[in-house]
Amino acid sequence: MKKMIAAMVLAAVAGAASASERPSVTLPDSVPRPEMRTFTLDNGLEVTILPFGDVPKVSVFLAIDTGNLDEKPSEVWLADLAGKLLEQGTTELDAAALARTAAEWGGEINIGVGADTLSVGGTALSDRAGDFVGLVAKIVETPRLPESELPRLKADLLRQLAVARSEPQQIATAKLRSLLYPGQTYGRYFPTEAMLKGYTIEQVKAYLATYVHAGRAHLYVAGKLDATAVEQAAREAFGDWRGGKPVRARAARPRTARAIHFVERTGAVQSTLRLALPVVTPDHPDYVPLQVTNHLLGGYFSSRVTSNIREQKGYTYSPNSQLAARQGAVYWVQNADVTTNVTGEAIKEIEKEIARLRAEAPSAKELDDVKANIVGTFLIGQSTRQGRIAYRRMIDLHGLPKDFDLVAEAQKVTPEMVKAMAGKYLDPRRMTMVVVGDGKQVQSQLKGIARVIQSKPVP
Amino acid sequence: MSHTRSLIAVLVAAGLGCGGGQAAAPPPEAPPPPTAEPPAAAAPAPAPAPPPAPPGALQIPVEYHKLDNGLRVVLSPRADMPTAVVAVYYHIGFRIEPKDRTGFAHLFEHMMFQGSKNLGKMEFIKLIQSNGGLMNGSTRFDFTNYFQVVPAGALELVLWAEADRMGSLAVNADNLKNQQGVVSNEVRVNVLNRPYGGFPWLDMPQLANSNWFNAHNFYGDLKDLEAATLEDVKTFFETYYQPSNAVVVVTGGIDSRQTLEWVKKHFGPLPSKPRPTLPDVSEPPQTAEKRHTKNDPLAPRPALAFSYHVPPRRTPEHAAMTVLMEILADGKDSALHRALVLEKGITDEVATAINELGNPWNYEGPMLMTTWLFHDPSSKPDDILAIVDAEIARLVEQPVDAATLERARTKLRSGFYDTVEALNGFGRADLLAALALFDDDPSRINHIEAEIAAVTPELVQATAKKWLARTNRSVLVVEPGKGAP
Repeated sequence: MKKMIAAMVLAAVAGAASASERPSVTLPDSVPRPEMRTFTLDNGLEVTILPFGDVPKVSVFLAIDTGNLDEKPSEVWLADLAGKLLEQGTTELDAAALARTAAEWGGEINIGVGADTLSVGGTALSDRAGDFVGLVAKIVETPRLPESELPRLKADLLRQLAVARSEPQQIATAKLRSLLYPGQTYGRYFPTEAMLKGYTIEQVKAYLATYVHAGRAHLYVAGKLDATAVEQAAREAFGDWRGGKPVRARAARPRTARAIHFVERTGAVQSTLRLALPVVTPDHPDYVPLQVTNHLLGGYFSSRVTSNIREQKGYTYSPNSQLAARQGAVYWVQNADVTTNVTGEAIKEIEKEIARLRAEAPSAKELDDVKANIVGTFLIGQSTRQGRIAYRRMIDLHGLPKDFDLVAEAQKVTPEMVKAMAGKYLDPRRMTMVVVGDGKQVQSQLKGIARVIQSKPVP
Repeated sequence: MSHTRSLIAVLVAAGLGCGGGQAAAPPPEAPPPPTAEPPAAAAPAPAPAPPPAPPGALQIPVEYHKLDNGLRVVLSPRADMPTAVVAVYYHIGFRIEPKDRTGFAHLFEHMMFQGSKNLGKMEFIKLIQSNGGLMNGSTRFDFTNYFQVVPAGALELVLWAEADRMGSLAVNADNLKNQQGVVSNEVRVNVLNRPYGGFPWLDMPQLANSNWFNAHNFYGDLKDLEAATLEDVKTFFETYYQPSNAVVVVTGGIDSRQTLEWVKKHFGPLPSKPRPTLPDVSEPPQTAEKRHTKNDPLAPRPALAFSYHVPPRRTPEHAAMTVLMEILADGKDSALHRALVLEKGITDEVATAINELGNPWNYEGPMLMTTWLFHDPSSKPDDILAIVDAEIARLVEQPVDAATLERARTKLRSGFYDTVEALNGFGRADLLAALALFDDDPSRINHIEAEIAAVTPELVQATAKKWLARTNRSVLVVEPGKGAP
C-alpha cells in the first residue's frame, strides 16, 4: 500500500451505477404491542406466555432471582456448581435419560448461572411445549443431586476457571468488577481453586433450598404455541412447587476513582481496555436517557468512539460501550482490544470523545439517527423468541412497570439531555480504567493520562 | 460471572457490532474421500428426486427470478413480520483468493463498507443504522455475504444502497490502510492474543486438506494483508462482484410484486460479464490418518479436535452424515457426550459441526465434520480417541436402533428450524441464497426435512463405515504452553 497516492480515489465502476434517486423511507412511529398472557400461581411463580412466529418451536426460560449474588465470600461459583448438579437429572430420570427425553422432543435442557439469574430452559418442538415445561419443573422440584458426580463437576469448573483466567477480556473484566464493587458479591468474579475443591453436596443443597423456589421464579414461554394449553401445562407442572419470599438484590455500593489499573500480560499483541463508571439502575428516570447517550457515544457501529478508533484510526476491531446492568448494580463501560503500540493513543481518543459530549450537545440529526437505530433494533429483537423473552425478563429483573416502553421513552430524549447525562455520569475525574497488556511496551504510553497502579490479576 | 466459554468459532466477519457477525458453529470443509467419488466442486452430481415432505414439514414460500444481467433473485414473503431482510451473496469465498494474498477475500469484504458511487465512507452503515437496521457482512469458504435486517418501510432504500455498491466501488488508499489496520486487529483479537486462537476452525482445514485452495490460512498472514494494494482491490471487485455472480434475497414483511419491481429498478441497469471461472477446489481422497500437534503458549489446558471429510452435498449419504453427527457427537444425548462427559469425565462438553462457519447446507466445496473438546493433562489424546473409535465401531458394526435414529432425525429437524430462524430471520435468507448460488434451486430449502426423514438405519451404517474410517480422519492436538497455570 506504500506506492499509491494517498488521496487517489479508485472508482472501480463496472459501468453506469444505478442512476435512480435515493428512495425514501417510512418508519413506524410506534411499535405494536406483542401478544402476551401473564398470571401468577398461588406459590408465587409468575408466568409469561408470548405466542409468536411461524416456525414450530418454543423457547422455555425459567428465570430464578438468584445466582452468584447470593454466594458468600467463601462460596464463589457455588451457584455454578449447583447449576451443574441440576443438569444431572431428576429423581425419575438420570442425566442420560434426561438428555434423551429432551432430545426426543427436539430440545436440550440448558442451565445458566449468572450474577443475578439462575435459569433452566431450552427450546423444543412446538407440539412438545407442555411436556418441556413439565421437564423444566421436574428439574427444579425434584433434582437428583448425585454426590457421586461432584468430583467430575468440580474438575469441569476448575478447567473452565483455568481457561477463563487465560483470556485477556476476562482478566480485564474480573479486575474491573473487583475495583468497582470491592468486598461485594458483584466484585467477586473468580473463585480460588481451593474454594472450588472444597465445596460439599450439603453446601449445594443448602444453596438450592434457600434460593431456588417459586417465590423467586418467573417462567417465560415464547414461540408458536397454544397459550391455553401452555398455561394449563405450567399450572399443572409448577402448582406444587415450594413457594417462598420474593427477594430483590440490595443496591450495590460501587466505588470509583480516576486511575489506570495495569495488569501485566507479557508479550500481548493487543491491550485490553476497560474504561468504566458506576451509574444508576434501570428504574431511575435518567436510565433511558443514559442508554441513548451510551448508544451515541460508543454503543453502535456508527457511534463516535467506533467511528474514531476503528474507522478513522484502525486501532481496533470490535470496540463497544455498554451499560452493564445487573440487579441493583449498573456500570457504564467502554471496551476495546487495541494494537499494543497505540494503547495510550486509544485511551486518549476515547477520553476526547467523552469530553466532547460533555461540552457540547449532539446535533438533532445525530440524535435522531441514534433513536431510529434503537427503535429498529428493538423491533428486530422482538422478531425472535429469545428477544421477546429477554425484553420481558429485563423489565421483571429490574422491577420496571409492566407497560414499560423503551421506544416511547427513548423518543423523549433531547440533545440537551444527552449532554446533561454525559456531564452527570461520565465524569473522567472518577473513571476507573483497566489495561491488560505488555508492560514493556505499554507502560510508557500511559504516563500523563492518569495515575498508573500496578495491579495483579484477580486471584 | 459469565465464565461461559468464549471458545466458539469466530466468524470471519466485518464485525459491525450487530447481530450478524457472531458465528454459531464449528469447522471447516473437506472433499470426497477414499473412493472415486465425483469432485464435490461446482455442480454436484445429479441429485436424486427429493423424497416427499414429511407431514407437518415447514413450507417456506420461495419465488425465484433471474434478471437479464444474470442476477438471481429470491423472494420469501412472511405476513407476520414488521421487518425485512436483504441478503446479497457473491460467489467468492476465502478458498479462492490469490496465492500471495492470503486473507484477501475477507479484507475485501471490509472494503465493501468503505464507499461506493453515491455513498461515501461510513455512509452505507449510517444509512442502515439510522433507519433502524442491523447489518453485517462475512466471508465463508464459498461465498461472501452482506445483509441487513430493517423495518419493512426501509426496504427500497436498502436495495438501492446494495445496488450502488454492486455497481461501483469508490475507495482510496486511506480506506485500504484503515481496514488493513482493522483486519489486523481482528486477527489479533480472534487468533493471536487469545488462548486456542484459530482452534479448530482455522487450523483444521490446513491440516485435513491438501489442495491449497482448501488448506491455506483464510484469515491471512499479516504480511500478506499488509501487502494488498488498491489495484488488487479493483481487480477483485471487477472479477467477482457483478450481477451474474450474485444472488439477492429478500424475506420478511414484504410485498413480493413491489419488491421485485424495486429489485429490477435498482439492480436491473447494472451491466454484467459472464461468471468468473472458479479454480478446481476438489480434494484428492485421503488415504491415511493425519495428525498434528500445535503448541499454544497461551492455552492453559490441552484440547483435541478430529475431522472427517464428508460426502458431497445433495446426496443421501450427506443426509446420513448429518444424522451420524447427531448420533455420535451433537448434544447431551449423543454417544460421545455419554462416554466422554458422563461416564469418563474427560471433558464437560463435546462440540461438533459439519461446516463450522455455517451449517451442513450453506456451502459448496469439500467440507469436514469436526468434533472438538477441551480436557485435562491427565487424559491423553490416544486414550480419548480409543473411546471415540469404540463408539464409531458400534455404528459400523450394526444398524442403528430405531429409537436412536428417530431421536437424531428429530434433533436435526428441530435444529433446522433454528437455522431458519437464526439471526432475526436472517437464517432463512442465508439458506435461500446459498441454495440459489450453488444449486440454482432455492426451493430445495423445502426438501431438506424430507432428505433427513428418508435416512435409513442401513444407510447410516454404510455411511459410518465409509466416511468415519480412520483413514479419512485428521487429528489436531493442542498442547498447552509451558507457562500456563
